[in-house]
Amino acid sequence: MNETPVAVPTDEGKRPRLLDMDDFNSRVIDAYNEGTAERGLEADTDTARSIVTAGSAVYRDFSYIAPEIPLYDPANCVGCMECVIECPDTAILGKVIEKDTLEKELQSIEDPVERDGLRARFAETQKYTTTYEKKGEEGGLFGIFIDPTKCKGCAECIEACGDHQALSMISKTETNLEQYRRSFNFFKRLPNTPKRFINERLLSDMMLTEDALLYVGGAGSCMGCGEGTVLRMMLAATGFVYGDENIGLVAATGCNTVYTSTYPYNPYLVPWANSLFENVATFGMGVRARWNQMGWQNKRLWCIGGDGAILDIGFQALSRMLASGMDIKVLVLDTQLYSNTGGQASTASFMAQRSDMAEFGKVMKGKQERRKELANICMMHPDVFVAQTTAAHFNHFYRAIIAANEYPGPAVIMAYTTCQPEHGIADNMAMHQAKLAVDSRAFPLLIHDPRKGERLSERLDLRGNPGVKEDWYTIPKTGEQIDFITFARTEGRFSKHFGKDGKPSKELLVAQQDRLANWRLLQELAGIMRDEPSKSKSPVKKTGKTAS
Amino acid sequence: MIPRTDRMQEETGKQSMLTKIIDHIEYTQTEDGWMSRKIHDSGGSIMAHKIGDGEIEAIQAGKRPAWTIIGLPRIIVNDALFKETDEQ
Repeated sequence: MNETPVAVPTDEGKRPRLLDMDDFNSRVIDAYNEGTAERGLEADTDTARSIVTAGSAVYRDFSYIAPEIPLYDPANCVGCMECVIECPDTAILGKVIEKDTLEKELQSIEDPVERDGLRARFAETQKYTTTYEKKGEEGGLFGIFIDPTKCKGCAECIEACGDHQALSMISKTETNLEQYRRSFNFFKRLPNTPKRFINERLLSDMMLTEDALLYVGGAGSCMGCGEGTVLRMMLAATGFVYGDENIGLVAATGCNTVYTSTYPYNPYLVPWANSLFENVATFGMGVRARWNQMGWQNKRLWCIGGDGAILDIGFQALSRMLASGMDIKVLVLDTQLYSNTGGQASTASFMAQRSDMAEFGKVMKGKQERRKELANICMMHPDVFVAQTTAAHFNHFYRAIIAANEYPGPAVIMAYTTCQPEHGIADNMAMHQAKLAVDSRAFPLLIHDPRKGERLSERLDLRGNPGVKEDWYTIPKTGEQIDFITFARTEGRFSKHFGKDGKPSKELLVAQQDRLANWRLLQELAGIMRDEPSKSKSPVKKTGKTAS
Repeated sequence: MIPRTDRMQEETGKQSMLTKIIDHIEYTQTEDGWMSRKIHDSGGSIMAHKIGDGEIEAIQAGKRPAWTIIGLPRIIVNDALFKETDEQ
């Protein structure tokens, strides 16, 4: 066995490094990329200690897993950045550049046709060009570039682009794949977006800065995974304010730890550790205590876990941590089931949802229990900042993360995320379904900030939900009511609850009443007077069981 | 290439909401002038744009529109497949 030193001395005589990064990034990563690691790499101390370099997943190449790739039409681009924000894989990035700088960089391109193609990637937009020119300043050009080695072809960016129609999918060929590689390499060589183009009040601009790009892609998550976007955005909002040197992550075992630490690939550019399934909050308490001893109070510590880890198996550990008052932030990736282990029901699963352990059959029709509302429970712990949000509502999401980081105590962010294979939705639907989950009261947005006052009605903010005074949201133009049945109709996990005539099952109607009960409770806690107060005592007549 | 699977359509029987793949860019002469449209592989299309005379003349002369240089979508001009100058 080749004995590798536990700590490699640095040339500068400073603290020893834990791992020889250059050796890891060449010898180990290359062996995995070439498929020779199993036979070619000797077992060594580094492997035994499971240390992986930061951002090593940047060397992972997914070019050949998807048949399509986004095609960019700059004429339709407005520079909204939503495609960049919503991509789960950091495969689409934007940059603003001054015209002279672009022309200077283009001089390095020998082929005039290629040069024309690269120049055409940059658009004049109102946001970055004319707004500045009106102020008498030089405007910038905004460009979008796709990294073919990270793009999995989910088409979430096309969904995010929406009616702008600046993005569409096109079939890959060997020729255009090579073009995408070359253009992304050109993009990487360009200087960073000048600070004057980054409006700090526009949260959508955060991902124009390097400080906010702390998740490099190359993770082994499914195409279009909603979790990847949530993780990227949390890091962006934290890194933008505190810098990459002041963030640490502890992650409970689950899907998120599997796809972000498939040896030797790590998409994080910040320190990360993996806890057991059940004890991420406890692990976090230990880290926080040690950091505080070292005078690192300013560093932001985030504990990450799925609903299985946080609501179920690690619930006691979370409650203990919240009661401690420690400055620890928790991000719950709420997919409403155990995604990693095959889709078993969790206490976050919706009523009537079909999943492993809560199948749809003759006797049982999906999950019978009501969903546990972790946000509500956390609000009842003393002085805990709580938010329920989604990546699709990016302003709400970013505001929640920034406020949680500022809050001098425990904070819990419940983030709705899709799990495409288990929810039975298409790969490009993470954002769409998250919006529908909010509109249908399946997953209401909320922010509970103890600094806002003593009363719950002062602390709890439901802004961001449509029709906040109504039971169900009604689309003004069409008069269509968006309720839980509307949401359920669009997902495979509820498909068996609809007959051939499209009528919902009685179990799904009970689930609908459960969601209404939760929404009415939130309205009451937030001190919101409903437009049409209900005469019924409770929308759920029989809690815990469906009518049979 | 493996065709994309639209799981939602398979499981719910509802109309697909999957983004369509662009098959080609179409330039057509109409009474209102030259128009361009992105045509899906399913035959549908994305918004039509009016095209200036200079742009269509360049295309007819075999110069690919600059925004299509990276990606190389097929281009059809009045039902004829576009060929670049060196292919003509």
